[in-house]
Amino acid sequence: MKMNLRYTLLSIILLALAFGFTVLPEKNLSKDLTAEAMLLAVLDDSRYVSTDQIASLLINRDPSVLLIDVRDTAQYNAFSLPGAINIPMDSLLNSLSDLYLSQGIKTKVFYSNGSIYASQAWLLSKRKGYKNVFIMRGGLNQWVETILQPTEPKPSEPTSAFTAYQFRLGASQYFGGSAKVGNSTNITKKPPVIRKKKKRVAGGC
Amino acid sequence: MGPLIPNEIIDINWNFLIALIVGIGFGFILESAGFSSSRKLAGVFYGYDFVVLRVFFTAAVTAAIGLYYFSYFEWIDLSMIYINPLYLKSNLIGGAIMGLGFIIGGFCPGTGVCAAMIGKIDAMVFLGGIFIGIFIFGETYEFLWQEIHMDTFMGTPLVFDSLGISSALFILGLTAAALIAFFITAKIVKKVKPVDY
Repeated sequence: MKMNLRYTLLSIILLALAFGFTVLPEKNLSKDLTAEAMLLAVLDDSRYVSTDQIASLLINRDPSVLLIDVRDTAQYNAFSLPGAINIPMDSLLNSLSDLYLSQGIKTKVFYSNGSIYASQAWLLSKRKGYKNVFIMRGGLNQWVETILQPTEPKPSEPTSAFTAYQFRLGASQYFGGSAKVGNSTNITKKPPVIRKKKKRVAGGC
Repeated sequence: MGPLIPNEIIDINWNFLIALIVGIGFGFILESAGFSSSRKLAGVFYGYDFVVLRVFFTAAVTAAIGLYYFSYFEWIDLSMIYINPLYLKSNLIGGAIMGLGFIIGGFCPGTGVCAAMIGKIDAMVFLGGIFIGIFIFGETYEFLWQEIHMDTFMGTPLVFDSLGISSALFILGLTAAALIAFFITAKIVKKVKPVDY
């Protein structure tokens, strides 16, 4: 008898919980970023990496960075950074790009000629929920100005400017600097490697 | 917030350790519920014991209600939960084979391991059979089974979407169905002559 009462009580609780769910007001569970969250993300400066940082990563052959060229294919073929892959803006949201952008192994850095396209790509990625996405500040224009054809700082500038200049001189040689931007014969492009999505473990009884 | 591992709140390297702990818990509960007895398991097919039905149906309903409340309070993102994809043909065939194996062998794979661990020889033979089956399937998969396996892929459909009703209504219906099933099976067990095992 006691057992029966307990079963009845548990049954009522279970049914009540299930019923409660039907009368709960609808809730919008969409994962859209709110305008406030977006604003905070935009105000935060940490999405930028400098051309110096990128140059240093490339020289050290850091395998954890994936450079993504968001310009169109023609421009990419004419000149691109070593090891960069090409994802033009219009194919940013297709499934192949998703494989590159949703992987959590490499840090992704967008660049374009200036900053605008890369910023747009960054905003879209943010909205899609991709993590570890950055922008190369100033884009390729900045790359040419600072890395390929660095200018000597004025004597009145701080020491840090001179240190940076020393590094840039070396980097310029490494990347075949002072040459024209269009000349990219000595740059080897890696063919894009398609990473297989990790298979998740499926369980059962 | 959740799921904790895909959202990197818990590092992915903990995955297997957590799986081990959950697995030990699962095995412990199977054993405590008496699921390492093949007579108890087979009872559901012969109509003298419905503990299997009760335990698994309760687990399913509890998990469903829990997950949807969690989702409502935004503790878990249901869109990130892995759902087994549906290959209709191979699921039907696999289900039939699994059911046959269950009724012939007296164990399902999980309970088979449980029973083998407490020293039941029939369960050890059952496990051996499983591994021989896995080996044969694995070795012949590419030229015998792949075509059937990959046939009729249907993505990851959800029952309430296919029925065109809300998830809440479906969960309520499922809970009601479970309770009715518990009630009816309790009546049946009372009528059937008790089996000694």
